[in-house]
Amino acid sequence: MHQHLTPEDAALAQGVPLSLRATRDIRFWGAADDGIFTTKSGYLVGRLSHIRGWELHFGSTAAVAWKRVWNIEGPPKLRNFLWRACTGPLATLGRLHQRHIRESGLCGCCGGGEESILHALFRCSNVKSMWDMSIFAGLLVDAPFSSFVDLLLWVISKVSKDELMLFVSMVWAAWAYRNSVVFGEPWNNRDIGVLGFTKLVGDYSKYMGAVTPPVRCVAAVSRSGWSPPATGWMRINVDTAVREGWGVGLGAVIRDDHGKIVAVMVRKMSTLVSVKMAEALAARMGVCLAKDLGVQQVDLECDSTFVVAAINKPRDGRAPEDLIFDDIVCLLIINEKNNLKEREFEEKNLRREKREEEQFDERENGNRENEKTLGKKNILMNNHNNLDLGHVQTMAEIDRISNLPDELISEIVSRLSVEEAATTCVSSKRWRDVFALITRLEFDHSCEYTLEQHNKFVDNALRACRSERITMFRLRILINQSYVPMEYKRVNHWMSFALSRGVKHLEVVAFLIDHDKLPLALFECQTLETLTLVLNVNFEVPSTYNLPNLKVLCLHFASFRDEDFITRLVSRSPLLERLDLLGIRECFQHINDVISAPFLTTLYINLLMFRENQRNTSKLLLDAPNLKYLDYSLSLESQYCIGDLNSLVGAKLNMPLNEVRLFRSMSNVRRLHLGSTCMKLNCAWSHSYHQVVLEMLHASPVLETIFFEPKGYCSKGKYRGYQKAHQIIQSRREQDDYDFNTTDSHSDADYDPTPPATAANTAGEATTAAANENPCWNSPKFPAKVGRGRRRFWKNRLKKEAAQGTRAMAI
Amino acid sequence: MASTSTSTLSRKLILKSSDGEKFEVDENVAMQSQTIKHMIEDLDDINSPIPVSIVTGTILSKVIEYCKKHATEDSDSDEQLKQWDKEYANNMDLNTLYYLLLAANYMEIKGLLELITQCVADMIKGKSPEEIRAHFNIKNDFTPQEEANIRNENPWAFEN
Repeated sequence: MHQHLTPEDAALAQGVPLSLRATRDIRFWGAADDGIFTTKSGYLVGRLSHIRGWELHFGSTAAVAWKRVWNIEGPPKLRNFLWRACTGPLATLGRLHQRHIRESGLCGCCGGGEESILHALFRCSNVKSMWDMSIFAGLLVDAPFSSFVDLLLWVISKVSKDELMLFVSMVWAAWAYRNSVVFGEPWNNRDIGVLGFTKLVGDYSKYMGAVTPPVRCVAAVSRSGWSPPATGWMRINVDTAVREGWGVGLGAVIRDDHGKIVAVMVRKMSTLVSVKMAEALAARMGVCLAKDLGVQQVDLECDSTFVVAAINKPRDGRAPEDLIFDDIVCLLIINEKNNLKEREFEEKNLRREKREEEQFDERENGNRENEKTLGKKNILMNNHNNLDLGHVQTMAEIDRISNLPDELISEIVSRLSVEEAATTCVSSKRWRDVFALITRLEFDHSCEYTLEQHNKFVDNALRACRSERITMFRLRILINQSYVPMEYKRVNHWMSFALSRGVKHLEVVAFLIDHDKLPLALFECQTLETLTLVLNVNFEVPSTYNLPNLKVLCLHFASFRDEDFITRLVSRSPLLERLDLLGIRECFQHINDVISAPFLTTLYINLLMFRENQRNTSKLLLDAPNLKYLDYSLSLESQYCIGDLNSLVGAKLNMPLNEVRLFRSMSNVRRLHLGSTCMKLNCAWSHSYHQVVLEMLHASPVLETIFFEPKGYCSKGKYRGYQKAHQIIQSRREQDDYDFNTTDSHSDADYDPTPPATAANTAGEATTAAANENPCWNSPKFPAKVGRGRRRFWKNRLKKEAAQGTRAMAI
Repeated sequence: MASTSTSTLSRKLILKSSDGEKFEVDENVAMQSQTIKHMIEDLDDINSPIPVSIVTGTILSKVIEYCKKHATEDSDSDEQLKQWDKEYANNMDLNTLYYLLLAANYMEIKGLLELITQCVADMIKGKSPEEIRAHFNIKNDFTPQEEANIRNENPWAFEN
């Protein structure tokens, strides 16, 4: 240590009192009592350093003057005036000249030199006669006229309090009179004016004295003399002496219940510590002494309220003293639970006196190891384990979780629902503050509480939230799976809150009344990764739309207006993996959707065309090499430009199919669902429908499930025929030996009287849903790849079946 | 490259706890801790013990138990692993959990950290404020007035 530090520093470092336990090094805030930083203490330090700076600048006399000036009993205006006179910014002509405001700094009244503060208040011919007539005439002859501060301090030291009041009010009056002369409206009678000022100041002091009662000092009740402790108990008395240049003396006396001295211990430390620290060390020394003697029942008496308070009510401080207090508490706590009776008794005593009980039990596990370590009074690194074991056992009742660092505790709380987290708030102040650190805000309104209660709760929670970054914000307002109307503004406000805190996952499910635009921040949030909105809003994509990190976008029940909104949504979010749109599309123009997204795996677009114009056409450009699931519906005549869709596994299409080549790009599709719009045979389409189906089967060698959605009202035999034909394919796939009759009857029963109930289901997984409800579909057991010959056989069958089906319907 | 990867597999590291206890572990076990991973990158001599300064031996052995299980995740299915995690966490008392949490945080073992925080969160779930206090020995430092105010703010959050 002496190698690296100067002797003074080394002495200081060696003098730092150490804890008896193996504690971790922590930082503490020196300006606060308990070592924990608070804004208040930070402010005070800032202010104090300001005062110190002020002192350095103006000298310490000025600092004294400041204190004196502000303590003068007069109107605040007077004190302000005096302070300005002391520090110099009084607008005298001399000062104005210095600052280039006036051309000349000479006194305009007497012409006797530059008008300084002292000149204006004492020397000028205007006021000089006043001072000459006053009781201060003799005093002022000897006074130092170097600066107003010096003069004032000198006067303060010479005169009584009443005289001082008279003096300062005359100074003030002199300035007021000087002002009246300078500004051209001199008082009629100067002396009466001065008297008026004096009376004002006097009256003010009297009035204030009468209105505000003097502060009463509450003297701490001090006990003189020593009374013995209860029978069978010992009492430790400790005290300290801290003297600069000498060091610190610690003393402890242990006496029994007859007042007989059992043990005495004194210790001198050459390093200077604070009085608080000295008291704490003395208390610890006393407790250790009692422990070494093997005393079972003791109480501690000392004259520091600080120590008593800290031991009686352990605080979570970080200051060096707290280490010592923790030592003491640690020693005391060992047997607390074993002797509840004595403890209760002690508590009575505690209320009466300042002391703390202490008990030891040699039987306690780990205590012996502890003792050894304590006995050495040196914490060797190798003894950590022993100490820690003892520590764990003895501190079992200590609240650990609250002492966790903020980041960990907020991690825990963030795993709770907001309601549960709110419940923890009541536990203690620490937990109330922890609640503010919550990063996941999930509000699921359940039917147990009214909407108002829920809304209030959300408001309160958001108000309490002080996290800079929110990971998740979820708001679901559903009662029994149905929507309840919500105020639009409120929801918007909450969303804005989440967006301002850099939310990553935002989900809002609600039904709004009086809806208006969504908050603009929603479209520009850089942090957003998942956005799920189930809201009845007009979703207008602004030109500033830019969500660079968005991966999942799910918009349900919204109505969309812009012609190219899909293109914009996709192009401004290059990382998009899932796009799910469900709602109304108002289209007045031709539609041109360009979906070019390299990471897109799921695409669901189910938009109901509104105000559809038959002449409008649509174009779809789809380029998504990673797309796995596609659900696309569009009722307009379309042109498609489909890129590579080799990853596509499941597709549900509901759009006029006029180009067979669409299927060629879906070579790996396993499940295919064709909606009723696909069935619309268009005159532009030269192929017959079953040709399309055949083409499709041909293009997709691994197709396992195919579903044709019949048109509910239009039961053209043809469509049913295809449906039935397909079912046969399925059956065929299930049973290797093909039995025509069985399958026929089976499917007959199946497509009458109603088409599959889920046919109209628009949900993304409709294919699977349909498959589950209809036993015929139920088994994708079909081997993924089939030989060409067998396939051809099915194709022929399909044709035959189609013909049969048509016939059957005709009959 | 292949030769280096085989040699890393066989490499052993020595971890030293705060109380001097030493543990020999496979590198891939220790590498689950980001902190140790970074330490190894900085270390020249791989054979010298790596100090894990704030973690005691008792706790470190538990951490290593977890890491070992998760280093060989191929052998178990996800379900089994989850079950194991659950039992692992349920066997800890509060104090151990506390130190494990600190250790996981210090050693930056994401899985363990998640497991323990979830475990503590589960303890809080479904408890009334009084039960939470009793369970964790949290001292109520509110005045009755303050506590009533907080409860009144969100009355329905405290009804269960």
